[in-house]
Amino acid sequence: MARDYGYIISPSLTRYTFEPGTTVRGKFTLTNSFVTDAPEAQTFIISYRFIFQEQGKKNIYETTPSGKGQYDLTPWISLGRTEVTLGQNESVDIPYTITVPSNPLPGGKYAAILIQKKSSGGTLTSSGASLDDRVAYQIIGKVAGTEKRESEIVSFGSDKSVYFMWPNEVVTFTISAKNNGNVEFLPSGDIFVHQGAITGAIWNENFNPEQLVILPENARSYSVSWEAKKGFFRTDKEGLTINLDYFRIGKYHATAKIGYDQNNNRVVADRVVDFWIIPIPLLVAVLSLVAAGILLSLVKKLLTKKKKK
Amino acid sequence: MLTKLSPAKFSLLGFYLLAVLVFFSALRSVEAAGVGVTISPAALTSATDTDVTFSYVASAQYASGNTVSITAPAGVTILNCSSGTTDADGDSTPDGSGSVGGQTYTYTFTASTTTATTTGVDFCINLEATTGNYGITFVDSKTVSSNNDYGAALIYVGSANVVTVSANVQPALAFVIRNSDDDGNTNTCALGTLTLVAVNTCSYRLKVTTNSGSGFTIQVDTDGDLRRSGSGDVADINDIDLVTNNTLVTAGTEGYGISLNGGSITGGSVTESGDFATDDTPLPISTPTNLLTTNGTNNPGTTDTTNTALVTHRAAMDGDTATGNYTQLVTYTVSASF
Repeated sequence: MARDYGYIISPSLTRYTFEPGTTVRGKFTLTNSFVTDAPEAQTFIISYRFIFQEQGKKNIYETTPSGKGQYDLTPWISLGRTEVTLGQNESVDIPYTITVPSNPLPGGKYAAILIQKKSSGGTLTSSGASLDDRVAYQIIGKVAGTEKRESEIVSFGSDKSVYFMWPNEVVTFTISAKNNGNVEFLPSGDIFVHQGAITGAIWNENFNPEQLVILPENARSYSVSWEAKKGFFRTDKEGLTINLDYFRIGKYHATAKIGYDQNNNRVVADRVVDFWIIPIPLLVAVLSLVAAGILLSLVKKLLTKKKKK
Repeated sequence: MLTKLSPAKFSLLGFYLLAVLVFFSALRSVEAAGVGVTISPAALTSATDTDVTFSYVASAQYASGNTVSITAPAGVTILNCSSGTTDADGDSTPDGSGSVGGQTYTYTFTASTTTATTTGVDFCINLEATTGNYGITFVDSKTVSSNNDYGAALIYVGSANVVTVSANVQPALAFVIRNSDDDGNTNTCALGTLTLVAVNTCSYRLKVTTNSGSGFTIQVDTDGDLRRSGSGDVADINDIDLVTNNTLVTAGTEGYGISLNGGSITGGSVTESGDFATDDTPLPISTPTNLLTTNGTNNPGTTDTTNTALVTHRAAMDGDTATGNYTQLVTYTVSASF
């Protein structure tokens, strides 16, 4: 069976720094991979929209919301074509032109070029839904020399202060950051778990491996989880070792080293949260063993006494 | 014909054919045609004179007075090495010496070789050329001319023999709506005829392929309610009422919504966005809303009911639901996450 990818666009996103008064010409490739559809050729409609974030979540707007016009790239965009017909597995470049005004509003500019099948939205003979599909090529830009890079770390914490069910429980850390500037902000860094010195960290993880950004006037949260490694025994560079994650107990510290923007500079700040691991299952097992030991020795003493009598 | 031959004659014929074969193969060995030649190193730096070793295995030993002529084409400067070859066959006894005239290096033997036919002979020559590929040839002259050898090998100067292979992989994004078995495309979700005693459903899959490490986002929007007429942006007699968020559509109570099974992706995880995490969920009306996001690459198979998102529309009617065909346009937009 032929593999059906549907729409294919490449690249899916392009970043620009715009010089005022210049013209930028770009393009992306569209491929018709609706290989199991009839008719073989498909006509695609090309349009563009404003994209932005709301509470850190991306949105593609049918109309630009009020108050966001300064970030809207669409007034600068013109398309080389607004419709294209492609046979199966045929590709074509979709050209576009961005005309940057000589005195543009500062900061980030965002837009998406949408590709949509002309024939999508099927015909129904009974009640139901017609389905329309679109794929978006995105442009993230900024006007050169007008960047205001300013951000803040709003919070860093763990989902609980005490973990009773460790190692069958996950510790989730969340960092919330806010973009107070006018261009995209990329928080970056790692979280380290330790019991005193970060150099003796027993676990660390990048909290934003996908490099997800925060657009201006937005805040976003990043979560990363620490869970016990599986298996009582582990094989590592030291050879066969006991997995100490099964014996975690006590107070732990999580230090987040967070890179963020301040006064147009990149700075790194530490944020620390403390939490406890009191593993009830482990404690119950240990206490049961101790109790069993005491019980056995008592029984033994009683039996010895009886024999002496 | 052959079947009429007696065994003795048949054997005789066999011996005859064998003798002919041996004769020709012996004849072939003294023809001393081309021999394999190696030049080490074969890759030279442009415009840099380099000592190279020109080697081959001769088909007969050399004797005093025999010569070997190694010729370089125009554009290649050929010289004798500063430590020119004396022991050509490496048996620790001097065999002769080389000299250059024009484009040809000539080695003249003053003694017989002992290992030229086994370990071969090596001649040191100095070559210099600009970027290009050049053929270096040799012929020799032995006492018995039928033992003469010839051969050639290439030297590669500069980057003329280098092919740079490069490939640029861009982040790509592909999207198609498939039926629930993922064995065909679809652009409809038919609920059929609603009844008072059942919840009618229809399903399809959202199939996204991407090599983008940040994953993708699917946004959903509609052109209005599931309706029999009008724009459908106001709940009225002409539409199926939206289900209360996070409650199930139930038979006998008018309601319409979707349940989402975000599935998984091959290179990360799927997060069902907002209200879509708990089913059933009313579809947004003219308000583009995130349906799900992912955080990694996805490469679903040709037919894949795991790494695709399953959307199920669920509808029910009650005694007040007006007759008619109720339809709605649902639009999904896929983009790379950032």
